[in-house]
Amino acid sequence: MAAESNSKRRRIVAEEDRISSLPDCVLSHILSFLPTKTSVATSILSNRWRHIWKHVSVLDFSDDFRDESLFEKARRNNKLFEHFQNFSVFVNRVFSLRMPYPIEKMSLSCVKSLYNIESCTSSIDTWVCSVIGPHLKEFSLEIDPIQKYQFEPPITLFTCTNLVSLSLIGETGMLSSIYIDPRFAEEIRLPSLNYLKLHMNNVDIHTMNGFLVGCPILETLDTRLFGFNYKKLRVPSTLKRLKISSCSCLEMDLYSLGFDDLNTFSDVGNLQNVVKASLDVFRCSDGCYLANILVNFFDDLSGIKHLSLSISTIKLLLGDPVHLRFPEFRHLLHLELILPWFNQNSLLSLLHACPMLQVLIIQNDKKESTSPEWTAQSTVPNCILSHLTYIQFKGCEGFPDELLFAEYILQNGLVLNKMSIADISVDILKYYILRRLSNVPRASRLCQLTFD
Amino acid sequence: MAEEKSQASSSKMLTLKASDGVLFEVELNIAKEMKTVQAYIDDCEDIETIPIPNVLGKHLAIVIEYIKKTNEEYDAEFEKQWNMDDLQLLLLAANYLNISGLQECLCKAIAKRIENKSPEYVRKVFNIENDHSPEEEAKLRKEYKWAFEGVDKD
Repeated sequence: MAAESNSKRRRIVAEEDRISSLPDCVLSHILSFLPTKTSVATSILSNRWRHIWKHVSVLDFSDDFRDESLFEKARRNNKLFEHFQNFSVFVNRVFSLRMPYPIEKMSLSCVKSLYNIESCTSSIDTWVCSVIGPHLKEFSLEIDPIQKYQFEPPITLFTCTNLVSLSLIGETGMLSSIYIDPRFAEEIRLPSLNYLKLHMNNVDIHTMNGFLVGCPILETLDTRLFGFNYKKLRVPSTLKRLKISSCSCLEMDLYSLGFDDLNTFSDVGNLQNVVKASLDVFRCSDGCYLANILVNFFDDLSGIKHLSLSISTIKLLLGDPVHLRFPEFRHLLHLELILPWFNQNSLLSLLHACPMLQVLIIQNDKKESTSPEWTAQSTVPNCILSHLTYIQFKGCEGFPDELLFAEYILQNGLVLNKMSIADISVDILKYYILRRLSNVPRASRLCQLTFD
Repeated sequence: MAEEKSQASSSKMLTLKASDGVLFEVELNIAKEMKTVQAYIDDCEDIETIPIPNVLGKHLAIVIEYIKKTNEEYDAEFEKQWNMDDLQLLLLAANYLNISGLQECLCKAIAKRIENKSPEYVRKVFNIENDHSPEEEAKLRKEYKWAFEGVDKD
């Protein structure tokens, strides 16, 4: 007995339960950063924690399995429907047992076990509708489109006065699991919306403009565009960050031209305040005109500072033998490219167009090189001489022109702080590149060469 | 408001005395970020040394540094340096001193470290004593069945 109480006393002195001494509001604030699953599980910790989760105004539900092997197992044993039912019971219980405080943030993800039957779909309807209200600040919905089910958010979601962030994700290939009625477009009123993410394949220009006009203070837009006809977008001048993924072909563009073709908006454009953009434009059929649209787009992004371009976009920009003029990226500081092939001439031409560039990150995707010829450059791009401080080269294969390019940067980069060569799995290659580049005289004495 | 800050920063220094006696000299505008200290100053204007009885010198130093350096980048890296014990003590300090930014940062950090962990793990990490009866615990496990499935291994 004595030994027991001694060890207990020692335990109390040495290891206190300090966290439970914090006020309820702090504990529930901690829980507000957790998925609801973990938050509710804290009810079991001790009596002090039993009801804390009920005071949290944030809900985050996901039917995802923690690891893929569990998902595979359930799928093989036909247990997915049961999985969703258990999930459903849990969600309903949370709604009924929590304190009746209005919900401020809601995230719902049904990506693994949804079936297109009444019991599942009516659940989603109920859950979404029960959180919509004047207190809702952030809403995120992700639905896996495998069952030809299309969830239609009610119009009330698009008229939430205090909604700051809205994210609707429901696309796979050409399927879309979320549908917005085009008649809603004129009704959209989200005066507080700052962040909009629409990953659906069926948002046409008309609906897109409905959002843009209805979100007067929008700063971040992440969307799919059906046909890259950005000229028709009524972008608010508050927009700072843009991420577009667009599949384009002549047929699609003509199709979307059919909408609102007769009206010319005065408030189109407004891309000059966008400072960060990520672009993934790919064409599914022949269309050189698209490259021109792309160049015009970059011209309109006149204030861009941070730019990220996908392979397909680079293919469009650099791939045409009939060379189009490069846009000028006068304020660009940070550039990330995924290259479909390594062509140092067009890469250097691009660098000439970015006089202020400080950070360059390139990733070589294809394991081939198109031009073994290195043509001597008449002038070194301005950014290399006076601004470039960091360059990262991922997926370097050790081709002659890749190394020549790296050497060129080292020899001319007067303010270069660091060159990083990353993702080389073969050690012999790493050693070869290291040896070759270490011997190059560096223009900048501070320059470090690292291999990650 | 910015003017007031710059005026204050050029003049007054305050001394904060941690629970283990360690003294810290800080500028007035730094000290004012701690609302508890602000209230102290409001009450007794002439005070020069303010006792902070609940916070060790080690943690008070970290808190002061946070107030001086806080920005988006700093906050993102801040929590990575501390173990769970320190995080908890820092949260207690931030709560006592009433520094909302630091409190927010620490709540998020602590949450991150217990995400998807089992109740047993969380009890151990926080030193929480389980005062549920076995029947109560079983009842809760049944009621919130889904919440206890698929947690990370300890």
